Amino acid sequence: MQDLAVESLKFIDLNLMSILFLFVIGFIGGLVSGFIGSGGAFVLTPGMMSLGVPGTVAVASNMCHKFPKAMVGAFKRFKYGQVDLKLGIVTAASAVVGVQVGIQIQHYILEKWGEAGSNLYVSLAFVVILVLVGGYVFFDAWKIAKTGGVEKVTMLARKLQSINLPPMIHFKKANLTISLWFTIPVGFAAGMLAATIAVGGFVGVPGMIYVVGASSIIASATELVIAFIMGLGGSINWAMHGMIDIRLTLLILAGSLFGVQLGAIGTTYVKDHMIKIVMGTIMLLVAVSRGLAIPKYLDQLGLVSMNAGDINLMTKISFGIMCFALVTGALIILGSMWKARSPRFATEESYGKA
Amino acid sequence: MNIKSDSKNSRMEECRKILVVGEEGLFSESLIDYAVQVAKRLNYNILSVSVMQKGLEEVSGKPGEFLNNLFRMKAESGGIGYDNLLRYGDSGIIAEKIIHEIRRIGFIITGSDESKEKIAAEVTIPVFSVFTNKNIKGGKKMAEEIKQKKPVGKTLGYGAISLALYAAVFTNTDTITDYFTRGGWYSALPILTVFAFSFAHGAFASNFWSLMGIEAAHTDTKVVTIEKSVKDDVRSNKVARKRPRARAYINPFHRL
Repeated sequence: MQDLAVESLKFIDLNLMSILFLFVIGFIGGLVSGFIGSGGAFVLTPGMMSLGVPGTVAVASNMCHKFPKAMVGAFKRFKYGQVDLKLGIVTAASAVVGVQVGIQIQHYILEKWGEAGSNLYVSLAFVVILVLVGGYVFFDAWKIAKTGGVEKVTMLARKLQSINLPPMIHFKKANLTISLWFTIPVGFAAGMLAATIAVGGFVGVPGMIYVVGASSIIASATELVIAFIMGLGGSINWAMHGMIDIRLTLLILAGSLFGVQLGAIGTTYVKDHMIKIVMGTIMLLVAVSRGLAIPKYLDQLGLVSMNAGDINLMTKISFGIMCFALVTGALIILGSMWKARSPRFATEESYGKA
Repeated sequence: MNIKSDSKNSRMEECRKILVVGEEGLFSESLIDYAVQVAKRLNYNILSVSVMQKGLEEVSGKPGEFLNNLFRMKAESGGIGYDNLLRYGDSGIIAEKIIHEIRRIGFIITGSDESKEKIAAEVTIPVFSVFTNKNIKGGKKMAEEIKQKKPVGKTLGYGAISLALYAAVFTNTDTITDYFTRGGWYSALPILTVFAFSFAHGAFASNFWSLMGIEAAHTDTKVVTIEKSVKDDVRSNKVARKRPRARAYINPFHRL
């Protein structure tokens, strides 16, 4: 397996275009991650594969860039007082278990139905979870924006926090006390999703908001701690199999370390519900993208019969929409920062001249 | 004052606004001039709020009316829409309520750092303060402080380190790839490498954004909390029910 990896790595030649491509998608992925706590991975892995990188090497190299990016982002947001370290560590503990279970399920499906079956499972997971969770997050953000931008703790979280089921844990930064038993499903689900679609934050962040009762700012910042812990564990695993192409990792990291810090700065300029708007938008667009990929796998499994040209077209549109999702998220973030920054900049300029 | 009542006020509502907070109903002349100047530059309207202490609601006459009229005159002579609110209580809480009730408030200006800190703790939009003419020296010092030192040296230093690290890796890719893909104990190499890069390159990126003037707007994180009340808290209800009925304690001497 190691020789195969080495052989595969030796086949990847990097030119200026591919270096720039990796830097740019790294920057955009980092920007989104720094802002909403997750995201980017679902474009980075296919992005690398589009350059000819084998799937396992792409996943391994992406994961090896994810944990340092998450570490830098978490540190930046920790300085802004947004990270609840205890909540992150407690949730990460169950997330790590969720990752292992998710991997076992993937192995089982792969053995039973082959690669097409595994891809179909991943795509269905994408569509179902992202439509349901992303739709709810977007609807919630829209409601908040309409009613004046005040985030409130959900009924479910209020109920769970009021239940006295030891051990009860107080999370100082998030300013809430909840039973450990209610944080476990959130972390476990985030870990499982990370193992399935590579983005655990799409369940982790909404879970911390709607189940545990943390604010969007705290949840998205704390998710970076969970991403760091999960990413570090996964990277060590991949490194032991010799699957990491350090060149790809470092090129993506070159862009993402700029992006993640800019995204973190952006959270201090916008209202809390903007995080939900960005997250919901990206999730819904990615759901559409993965929905377009499903017919291909159904055809491969012989469940439907489709024209090869149509499948090829849908695959290209699917990838295009995925990139569009990330770029849209980045534009919303930068646009919000620009809008919020204009009066501040003008005022400081005026003050400096006074 | 009902800001939504007439057509002039409804136009005011639609325009972007600066909220100017006057503690004790006071707006210094430098605060007024500054707010008008900024509003003119940005094409904003001004909404001022005179914040009085709670308990003074019964005092007759409109506090700070003279300063409010001066403010209105200066704003309207500059072609800027102006309106004023009178509120009683804590300026931070009042500012937070206003920005949720009234749309399109871009940022807040107030007359002192103390007021600014109080308001910034409650709101999520930018808050600025100005010093008065009485403290010209302090004002100049404040202006100088705003022009913070740009981290040019740090940016260049970390940038050089980052560049050196990237050059070291990409000029020796064959050797590095060979060692980094051996697995086993060699797996520490890629992990330690990305840690090293994230410190150097991360510091470079952080200082780069600071050099560009892109920094955090504020670092006070507003935490959503549950409003606790006896009604909402199940545990409190259970404890409340266990207590003896209140009337047994109304007259402690009832046994005499």
